[in-house]
Amino acid sequence: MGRGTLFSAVLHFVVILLTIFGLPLFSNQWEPPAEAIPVELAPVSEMTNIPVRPEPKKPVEKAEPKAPAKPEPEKPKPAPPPPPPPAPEPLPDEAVPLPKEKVEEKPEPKPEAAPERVVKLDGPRPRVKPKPQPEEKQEEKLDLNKISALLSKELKDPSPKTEEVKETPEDAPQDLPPTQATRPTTSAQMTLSEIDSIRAQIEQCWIVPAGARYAENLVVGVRIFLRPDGGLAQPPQVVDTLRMGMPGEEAYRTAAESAVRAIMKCEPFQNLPVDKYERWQEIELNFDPRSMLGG
Amino acid sequence: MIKTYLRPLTRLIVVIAAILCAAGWRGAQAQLRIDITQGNVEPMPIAIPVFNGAGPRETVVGTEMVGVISGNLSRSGLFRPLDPKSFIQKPDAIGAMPRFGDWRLINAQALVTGAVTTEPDGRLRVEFRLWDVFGEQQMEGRVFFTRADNWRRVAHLISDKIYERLTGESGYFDTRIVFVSESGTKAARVKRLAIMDQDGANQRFLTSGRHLVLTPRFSPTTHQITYLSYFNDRPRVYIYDINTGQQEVLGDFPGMTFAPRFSPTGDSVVMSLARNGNSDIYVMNLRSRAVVRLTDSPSIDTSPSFSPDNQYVTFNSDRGGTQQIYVMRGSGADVKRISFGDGRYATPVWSPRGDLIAFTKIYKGRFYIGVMRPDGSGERLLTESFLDEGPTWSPNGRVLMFFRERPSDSRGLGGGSRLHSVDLTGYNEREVPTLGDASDPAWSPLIPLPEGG
Repeated sequence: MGRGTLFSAVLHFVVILLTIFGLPLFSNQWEPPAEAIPVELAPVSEMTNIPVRPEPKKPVEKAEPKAPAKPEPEKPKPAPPPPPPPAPEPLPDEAVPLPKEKVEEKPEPKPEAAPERVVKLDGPRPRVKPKPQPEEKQEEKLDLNKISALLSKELKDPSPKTEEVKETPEDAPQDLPPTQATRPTTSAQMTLSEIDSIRAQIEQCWIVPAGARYAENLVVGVRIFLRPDGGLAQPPQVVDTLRMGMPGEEAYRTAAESAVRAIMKCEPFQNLPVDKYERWQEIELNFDPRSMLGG
Repeated sequence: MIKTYLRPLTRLIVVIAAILCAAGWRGAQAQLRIDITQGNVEPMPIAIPVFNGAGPRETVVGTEMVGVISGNLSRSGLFRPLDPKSFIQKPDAIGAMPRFGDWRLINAQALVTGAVTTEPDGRLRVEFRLWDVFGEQQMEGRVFFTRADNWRRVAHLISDKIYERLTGESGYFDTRIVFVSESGTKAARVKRLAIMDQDGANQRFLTSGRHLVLTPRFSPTTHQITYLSYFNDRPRVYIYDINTGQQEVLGDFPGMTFAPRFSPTGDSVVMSLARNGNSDIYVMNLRSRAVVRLTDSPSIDTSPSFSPDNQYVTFNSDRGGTQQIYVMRGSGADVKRISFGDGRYATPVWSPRGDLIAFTKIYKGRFYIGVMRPDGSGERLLTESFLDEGPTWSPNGRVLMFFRERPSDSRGLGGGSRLHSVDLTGYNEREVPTLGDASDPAWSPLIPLPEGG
């Protein structure tokens, strides 16, 4: 018994090993999708910022094969040198979470008042062109373009596509930009790069209160209220105002003052997405010097 | 039964959880939160225009005071005084309220203004204000009255006020340094006790140089210094009163005494006492002159230093085979080794703010000044050279002063030692100007203000 089972176990093991060693050919093909997934998040905005025109071609190709892993390697080949990274993006998009984002992001372009002028000029052409699916993909990318405040050239391209959106899902919100208020929860989230842009601006202006004794106690929350032009609507509010005035909390007061100074120096903030004003009209900033001071 | 009982309860919990989640979600959605974790570790730009003088004499004083204040703040590494040439609003035009826009334009974050006048009784009246340029308000304002020749001290006091208001830490500019001034050839070295202001001004000698002096340490009361002097070839611990110039031997011990240091309360001195080739740590109460032995080991225990709360003593010992840093209770109990890095560790000094212990580290023939937490964690080396030794803390625990020896060349020239300071970042290292060679610095506490000053 023991020998028999042992023998068979060893045999099975060998067979398994063989299959593993036999697999590398397959695994090479299967690996790309796995690698493609982590690339997804960051590059979406970056990539879409640049190659606006080459993209419409790809979605058409991709839309046809969709699911299987094999087609992937094929796509990169036809695609021009800059886009190879974007190629993997659409796959994950369709495969997993993005549909939600698509729905949410559609409204973004609509509230934007400016592009509408352009839209009317270019509008008619693209309406006919692509199928519904590729359109969606374009929308996402194009929205991001606007957000990142790209050149006016690029704005022309996206705007027609946003009109297409009208046809498919919701018409009402687009016609009335001010209706933002009615659906604050569904309106577009700030993207990571937009938040990073705000963060980077403030970090540039912030002089960290160096040499503070207990840096971990010096995390300061400051609430700011912004006007649509990015300027301060009112002076910044330190969340824990009480603590600022307490005796023995001079270091906290110093930290809070450095935070307020950074905001006052940076204001007005640049490159804010106008269509998401309701998202950033009130921001709570947490100034956390711990990583800087090694506390 | 149980199931039917549980179900409504779990349902309730689920509903409550859902409500809470929804509320939390709404709250989270209502406001954008951004964490700012990176900033610039750079000195704060500060504008210090010349203090307005009522007459030519006061103008000279005002100009010199601004020079001293700018020097202090700049050396701290935390401030960058702006070039007066960049000022748009002229000092004499500032008056009661600065034009903040003008100062924002040159990127000043803080502005210091002042005025110097002479009182009818001949004393100087110095007024200063510290302004928040972006907040457009006064942050600090003081008036000092002083003898005309005391303007330098007032400049240090003003520097401290500015430093305290802008950093949240206490200042350290109105302090003095006592050190060993060295002169003469290597064979006939003359070592004298000397004292100076923290910025190197007002240097003078306290002892004649007939007897070798070592390791001076300030008392927390600032009127006294304890140090080691060789008398009849025997090292003994002395106490010297700065105001009266009197010195006295601290007890008459059978062996050698060395490495004396005041306790934070100033009423006792902790030191090493060597008997029969074995040195241990003792505390002497200065009033009762009673001596208590803290360590009792066959190894060499030396360089004791009290924690600011008087509860612990750090010292170095070779009881583990090599020289390392230990911490024990003030009674001598609970001895714990805290240094575990490569190399040897010496001269531990507890920071006045209690959070760190400074030390000298010797590793592969190089010397380092470093700091670690009292539990031995977070070791950081701040300086490195051929020979760095004898760290002493500024009273606010942000800056260390030490002495650095340069190697002499093959002909015995070019050597010598100088005082240096470095702050806790390790990036702001500077030489402290002294007349001639200097070693063994000791930083005084903040000098107390006279009543009504």
